[in-house]
Amino acid sequence: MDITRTLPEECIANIISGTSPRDACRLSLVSRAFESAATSNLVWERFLPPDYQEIISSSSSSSSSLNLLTKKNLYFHLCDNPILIGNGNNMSFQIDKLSGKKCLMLAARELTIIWGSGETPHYWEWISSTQAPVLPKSRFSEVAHLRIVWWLDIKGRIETKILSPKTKYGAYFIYSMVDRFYGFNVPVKVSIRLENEVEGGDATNAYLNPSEELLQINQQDGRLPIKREDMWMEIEIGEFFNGSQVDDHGAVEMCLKEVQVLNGKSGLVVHGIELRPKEES
Amino acid sequence: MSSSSSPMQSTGRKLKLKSKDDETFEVEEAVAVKSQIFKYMVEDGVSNGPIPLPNVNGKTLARVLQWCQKHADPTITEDELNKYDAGFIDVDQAVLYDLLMAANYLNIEELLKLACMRVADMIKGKSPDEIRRTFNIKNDFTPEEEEEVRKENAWALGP
Repeated sequence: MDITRTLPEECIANIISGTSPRDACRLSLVSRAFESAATSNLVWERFLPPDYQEIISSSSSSSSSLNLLTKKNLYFHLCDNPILIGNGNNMSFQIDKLSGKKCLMLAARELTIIWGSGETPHYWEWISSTQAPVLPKSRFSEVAHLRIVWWLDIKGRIETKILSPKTKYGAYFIYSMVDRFYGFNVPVKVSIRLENEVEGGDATNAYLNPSEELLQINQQDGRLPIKREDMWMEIEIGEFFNGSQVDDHGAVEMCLKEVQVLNGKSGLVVHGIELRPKEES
Repeated sequence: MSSSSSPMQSTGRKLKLKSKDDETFEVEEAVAVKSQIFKYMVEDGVSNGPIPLPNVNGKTLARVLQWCQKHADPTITEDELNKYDAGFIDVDQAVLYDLLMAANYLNIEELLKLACMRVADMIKGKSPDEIRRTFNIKNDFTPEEEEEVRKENAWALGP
């Protein structure tokens, strides 16, 4: 009773599309019939975000050759190659490989950085990312370089409806440190809240440049950074659950600041804030 | 042996169906048209006389018609329907397979979706070997082909 002999390929593809991207790739190994069904556009179209066509066509940075890819190849391409979207190309879009859900990143230019408007470059200076060889490669045209502030206040805001519904998201502050990096032995405070909800927004400590001693202690009172594959640093700001599209939660606001100790800080380079699905623990 | 649908308000004519093992069924048009096949037949006016279904046995057809009837009932709530579906599709593999084939053959979209999802849940997380065993599928790859497919899907096959 080999079902692949009697079921049409479309039916097998329908079944496979109800599993997951990882399962679909595993299922390719079962038999030739499964491989054909598991690689079909029917399956991968279901794994892509429902509005992927719209997103790609509205992006100025995506080439038309994306339309020539099979849906499976497109899926994996979008996992590893973020495309720029939004006004001024200050956001990027890619796909989370395991779930097929959207990952969005806000460029530094899309954030609200107090004293970072550009009119006061002796506080925050905007650098074209192509002219900064010491920094990791940036997908955006500019990054923000902190020369000196005492009042550190960075906020990001994103409408929840452009993210994938029914998904737990983590927000991560993406940054680097350049020469004469100081003032961050004091932890910054990070917080996240959904604008339409009354609760939330509790601040957590985050150590952007933890000392050796701090790294040794098992129980820290705050978040620690990790180095990403793309060589930028990242530290978690917080997480939230993006409900179904029907209940519009408005926007989510993310905040990173140090406005209590008010010591002088310098050397931080802000790449942006990334939002990506967090696995259910 | 024949079975007929329950006496709801008779909105229209009845269709006569004959399974491959010669069981006959009478079913209200409103119920039968859950199947696209019957829907077209009714629209084209070719639904006189018993319709032979050489690809579906009596047991399976009875089950399928029961499902159609439940789904054609205007008084049933979505919650009740979901509960019904969950119980309906919780069957052993052989029955599930027959339902899948019948739903595909008779082109009953909702039932096909239900059966496909159930099979999908059964195969999630399983290794290719386990799946072959569960469904009696032969590995017809040559060693070179298999190596090729393995390479292409390496990320999914991790430790």
